Amino acid sequence: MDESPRRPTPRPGLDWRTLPIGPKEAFVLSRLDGLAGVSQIAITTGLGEGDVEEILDRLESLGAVSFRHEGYRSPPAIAPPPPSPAPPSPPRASPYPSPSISAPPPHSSASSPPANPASASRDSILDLKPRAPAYDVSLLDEPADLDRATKEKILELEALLPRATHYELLGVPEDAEKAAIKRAYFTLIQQFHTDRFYGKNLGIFRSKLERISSALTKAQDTLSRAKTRAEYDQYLASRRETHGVRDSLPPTGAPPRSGDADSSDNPSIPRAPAAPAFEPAELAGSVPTIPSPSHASEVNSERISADPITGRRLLARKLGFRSGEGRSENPSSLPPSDPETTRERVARELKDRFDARAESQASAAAYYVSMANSARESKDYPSYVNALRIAASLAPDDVAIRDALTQASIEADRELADKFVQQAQYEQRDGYYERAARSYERAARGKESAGLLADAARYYREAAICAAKEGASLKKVAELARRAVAANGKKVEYRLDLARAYEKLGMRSSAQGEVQRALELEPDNEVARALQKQLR
Amino acid sequence: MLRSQRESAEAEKDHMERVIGIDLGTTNSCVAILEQQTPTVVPNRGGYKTTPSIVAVTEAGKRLVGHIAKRQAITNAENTVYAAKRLIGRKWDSPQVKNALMTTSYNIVEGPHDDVRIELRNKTYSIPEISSMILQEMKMVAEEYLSEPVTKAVITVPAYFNDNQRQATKDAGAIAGLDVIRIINEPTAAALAYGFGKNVDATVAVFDLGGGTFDISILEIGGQGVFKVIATTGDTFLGGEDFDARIIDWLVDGFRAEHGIDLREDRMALQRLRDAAEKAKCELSAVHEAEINLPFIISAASNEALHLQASLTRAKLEELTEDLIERCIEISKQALEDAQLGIEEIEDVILVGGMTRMPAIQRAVQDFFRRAPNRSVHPDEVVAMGAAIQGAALIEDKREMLLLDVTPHALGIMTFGSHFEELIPMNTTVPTSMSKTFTTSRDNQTAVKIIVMQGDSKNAEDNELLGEFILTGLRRAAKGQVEIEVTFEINTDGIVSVDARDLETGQAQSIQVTASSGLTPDEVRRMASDASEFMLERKADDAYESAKQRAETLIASIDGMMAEVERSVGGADFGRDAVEKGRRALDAARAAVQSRDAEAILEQVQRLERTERMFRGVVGGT
Ligand SMILES: Nc1ncnc2c1ncn2[C@@H]1O[C@H](COP(=O)(O)OP(=O)(O)OP(=O)(O)O)[C@@H](O)[C@H]1O
Ligand SMILES: [Mg+2]
Repeated sequence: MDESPRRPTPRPGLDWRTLPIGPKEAFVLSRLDGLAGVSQIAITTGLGEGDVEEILDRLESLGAVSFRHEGYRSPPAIAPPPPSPAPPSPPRASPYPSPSISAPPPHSSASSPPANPASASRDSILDLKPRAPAYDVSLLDEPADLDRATKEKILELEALLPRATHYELLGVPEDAEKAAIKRAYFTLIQQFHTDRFYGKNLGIFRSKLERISSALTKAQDTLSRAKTRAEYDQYLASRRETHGVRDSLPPTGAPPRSGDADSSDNPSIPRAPAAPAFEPAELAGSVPTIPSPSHASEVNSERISADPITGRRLLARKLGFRSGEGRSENPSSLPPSDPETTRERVARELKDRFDARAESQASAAAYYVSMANSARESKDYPSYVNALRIAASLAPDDVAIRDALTQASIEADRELADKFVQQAQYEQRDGYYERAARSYERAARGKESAGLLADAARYYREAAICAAKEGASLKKVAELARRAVAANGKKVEYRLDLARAYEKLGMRSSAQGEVQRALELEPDNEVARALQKQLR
Repeated sequence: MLRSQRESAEAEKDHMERVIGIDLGTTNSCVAILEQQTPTVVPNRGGYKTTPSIVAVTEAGKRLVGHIAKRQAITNAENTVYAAKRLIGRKWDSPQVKNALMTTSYNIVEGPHDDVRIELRNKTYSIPEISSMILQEMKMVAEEYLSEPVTKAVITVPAYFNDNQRQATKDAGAIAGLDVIRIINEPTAAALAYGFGKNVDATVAVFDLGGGTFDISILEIGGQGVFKVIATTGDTFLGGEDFDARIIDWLVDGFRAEHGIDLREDRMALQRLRDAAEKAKCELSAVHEAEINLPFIISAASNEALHLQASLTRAKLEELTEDLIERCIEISKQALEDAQLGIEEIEDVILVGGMTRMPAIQRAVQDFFRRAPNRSVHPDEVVAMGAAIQGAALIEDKREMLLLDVTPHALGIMTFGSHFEELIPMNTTVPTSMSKTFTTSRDNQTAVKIIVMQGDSKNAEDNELLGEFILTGLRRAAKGQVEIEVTFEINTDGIVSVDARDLETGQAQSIQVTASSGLTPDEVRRMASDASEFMLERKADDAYESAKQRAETLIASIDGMMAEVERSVGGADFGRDAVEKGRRALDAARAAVQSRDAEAILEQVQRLERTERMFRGVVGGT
């Protein structure tokens, strides 16, 4: 589940210096107050929302921050109110008016780790705190025959649409029965269907309601049929499986960061200067459910020096306890009840070994490296990368580990590229172009690092097309087009795409250059000629 | 009881405007209102809850609607229109119209917009106009019952109607002076009435076989008052009329074999056959054998009158119509498939439409669904009731009921090679929107024509044209290079808008698709004003009738007292004067009644009333 709108909180007692981060991440970390959402952080840091999301994902995977799901639980009270440009809205428990249907999103338990019992007790106070909404509050003043509360509900739900999974949108757990899904859908559609407001002036809210209705119906239709639900579940699972490695990918055109474990220069990962980043956060799978408290207590947190609880928990759940994700609202009822899969067995062994070794106080980093190797053997690439990432954070000066991490990232990209293609295709078919653009981009990078440049180019181009459809910035589109050309310079169409993108960016001479090269490849290409004429 | 209902209706009136629900059927129409949360069918003047969907024009140019039109049909067959619904929104060259040309006793002619018109006594009428006459009648029935004007209506159509047919029905409403706040599907309306106020939580099938159309819809009804259609399909040319036609064929064939005469050639004979066939069919739902007796059906060449006499058994009828019933079941199977449901998942089957009274149909339904069909709803009235419920649900403030219907046909555009490219598949819940990317088919193409169509065939020509527009200003490029994104959107009212944009230049063009009913908006306006003039005429008629009645009552009363008044006061001057005045009043009143001028009569009524008071004083005083 794309964790948005979300409210990141820095982990208490965190020693920043132990983190493998750069100044940008540190800056973001310094702005987190547990109240501000992504858009606010973007405003206060002057970074793009995409960058913020990406940085937060990274910080999260390092265990530096935790998230609260907006509309479900409120943020900690310790923080000052956010620098909200708009008047605060009254407290709301959920975008859904009825508590019976706003079942906590499946990952909610992950946002209040048992290791931080204080947060639970603070909740009651927190609910009284005004929170910053995830939408443009000025829209509340748009004229319509609707009361403010209804307008708020509509805007909140609409803000949720691009990110929420079908399950989250309907507020049901992922193992919900058909009947429960139907009930949730019927209750919600009753409230958000325009017929409910027949004859009223709905202003800008009409189309919003219609968007919400169609999204709800799409969710219900997908989940109510066995075949489409299975396809969707598979897609979600794939998204989650690849989730863990998203940080290993440098953002498009992000400047190299020093001290960044996975930023060591590698010629097969081309970087463009200062092009805007793609927001990979959209791609993210959900935050997996944390292990049950009994599992957590098995882990002796005091023994680990550099990276305490969160990182290990993260790893542990990525290795072994992810299958329960969203399947149950009660984490203690999680598996192992299913027949043990290879992966689970490996995970268990790893954990046992880890616990045993931790006992002997050997180098924590070495354990992670060994775990990484086991994960690699079982082809669990996300865990492979994550384990190395933690190892690198434990031993920031160990060049070998850093190299291994770079290598692992490349390998994971390569291995998962086809999964990303599948995800992208599903997303594209469903009209989620923004997500599709990212998945294609990630697939392209994987192919690129596997040396499959023709494929890479093709997927970069798909990414560019999806980005254009979604109305992404021209810079983004141009950057993707440029990458397609970089991967395969022999395709005239790619060059022409890029030329047109440059042209729209006002970069006439670059555009002319591309057309020129296209004509060198294919002197009689009419399209190229026409474009050349136009550019003159 | 009626009175108290009306009083409460009066009381409710302040809070909300009435919406009537009209089931505009092929053979019968029905009107209902929601009264104190109870759907109530309004009986017509004759006390019947349904009114035949028949319109006729008499020799004197008078319009007749309903039972009266049906009664005179035989003697005025060429000017009596029945089953007009089968022609509504159809194109002149469609096979359905060709078929109708062969079988109807009235005269069908080509309209100016490739549409269909009907010629009655040298005047041509569009199909929406014919339908509007029925709607006007239903509106009047409701107004008389409510004693208040009605302007808003929900009208039902077969689920399988396309947008052109829906638009034509809307036009008919407009011509009748109705604001059609929503068109809903007949089976869906039936489901609404079935589940209304009952807290049903089930998956149900509605099997609706009426006079002209067959519809089957599968719905999920939730305890929250939500009715969601999952799939709907049907045949707009499968209904009781087709069963009748089988009987007619059988009779005609038998007669030809016996006398060598084709009864079809004689419109009057055909009309009698039609009536007899339907009557026999209905009888056979209750008994096993029906007599068909049509004396003097036609004259032979020898001028000798011939009679038709036959006996039809239920078994024979079932044999004659076996394939029609099979077809209903086939379509039902399709609906289940479209819904991706197994038979066992259907928890109730609701029978709607007069034809479902036929035992063979009930049997077929029971065999197919493996359960006895539900008999709790009235097959003829339930659709109008559902329409009234939806109307009230829309305008009421507390809206506890929500209807989610689907598009019965796919929507898309015509692409190169007359191929139909679907954008919104059938059975998609509205509101919805979908897009697809297309490319140019020729080099250096700078414009594309977006042809919006509706239908279920891959071949564009088999589908209905809904509208078209042109997107210009495309970048010159080799074919396949320019990408155009086409987006279809259907809003809650079923209005389709289409947007096409060049993904690169951002050049965009969009239209709101107005399905073509066969009439232009101007024509609809003109017809509406004609119809309202007609309504005014008719109102004047009513005023005359009531004034005349009042006058005649008074005349009779005064006449009755005249002798006595003369006897008691005739001796006195003032008495003679009074009697004389009375006589003059009576004469004047009689003359006014003769003049048929309502206002003149009413003037005389006042004089009569004074006279009557005076006379009563005299008579009572003695
Ligand atoms: N007892 C009966 N047995 C068999 N058929 C009957 C019986 N009663 C009515 N019908 C037939 O039902 C048909 C009319 O049904 P109904 O009034 O439901 O149709 P409609 O609503 O006018 O048509 P549609 O819904 O197709 O537009 C006629 O063909 C009539 O002959
Ligand atoms: Mg009907």
